[in-house]
Amino acid sequence: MPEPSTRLKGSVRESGDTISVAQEIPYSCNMSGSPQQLLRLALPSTVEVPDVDEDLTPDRGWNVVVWNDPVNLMTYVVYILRKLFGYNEEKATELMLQVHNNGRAIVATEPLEKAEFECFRLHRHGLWATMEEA
Amino acid sequence: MRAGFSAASDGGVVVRLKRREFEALELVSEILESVGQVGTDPGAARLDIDAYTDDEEASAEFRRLMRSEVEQGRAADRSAFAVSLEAAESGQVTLSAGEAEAWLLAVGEARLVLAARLGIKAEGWGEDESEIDPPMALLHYLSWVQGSLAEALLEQL
Repeated sequence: MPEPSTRLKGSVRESGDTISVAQEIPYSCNMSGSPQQLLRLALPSTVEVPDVDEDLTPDRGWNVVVWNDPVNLMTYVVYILRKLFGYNEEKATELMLQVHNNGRAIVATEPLEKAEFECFRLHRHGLWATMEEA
Repeated sequence: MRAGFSAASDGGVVVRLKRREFEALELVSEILESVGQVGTDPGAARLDIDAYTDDEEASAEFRRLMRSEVEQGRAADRSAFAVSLEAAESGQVTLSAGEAEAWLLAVGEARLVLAARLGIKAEGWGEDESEIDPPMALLHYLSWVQGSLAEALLEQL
């Protein structure tokens, strides 16, 4: 019998170990996992599961991240966040403090092109911004 | 009326500065005009744009698409700033909201360039007042301008 996919949930095993799928997936296994996990559970144990994460995971968008810099003043960052994203004073201040204290904050989550546009606008206003998949 | 910048009733910003402060602000234009190339000027490197930390191809594409637009916008700010600074010096003391934005962005950019050239990389740079040379003194003054202008503009939101 071919080895079951080592990517099934559970501990890492050394090659050559023989395991059964039944051992790997307890009956109480949480069925609210990712589509990929559910797909694996539905397949016979002898089938190689392809890597299909990208195809099955719905697009959750891109996080627009503002990074701390030692030069722009807090008041300035609050103003820019309020102006660009329409946040109220409380929300903009909370995000600014996150940037200041944690070094970064996710200021928006958008589809790819909108996220790139927001990054552009943040750079245009002198803030250091990047994006990453949500 | 407080010194510096305050919100005007028409949505603009009132400027109250001394002669020496106007002279300091004239240096903002000089600094922005002096920005060189990314490889040789830390100020230029700080103003350069990026969006991806771990994808060089996407970074290059982002720069290709956005760089000229950012540069055009900055050039427009610089000239709006220079024109309205001159007007303010000769007594036209109320900036429109658009002009005040241009001041905020031009001053902000000049601060980033100055700080990058001074090698400022961490918080706390403003605390050591034992050695304040002219560029550092200008940076401190422009910090105050940025704060005062941002507060006036926040009142207009």
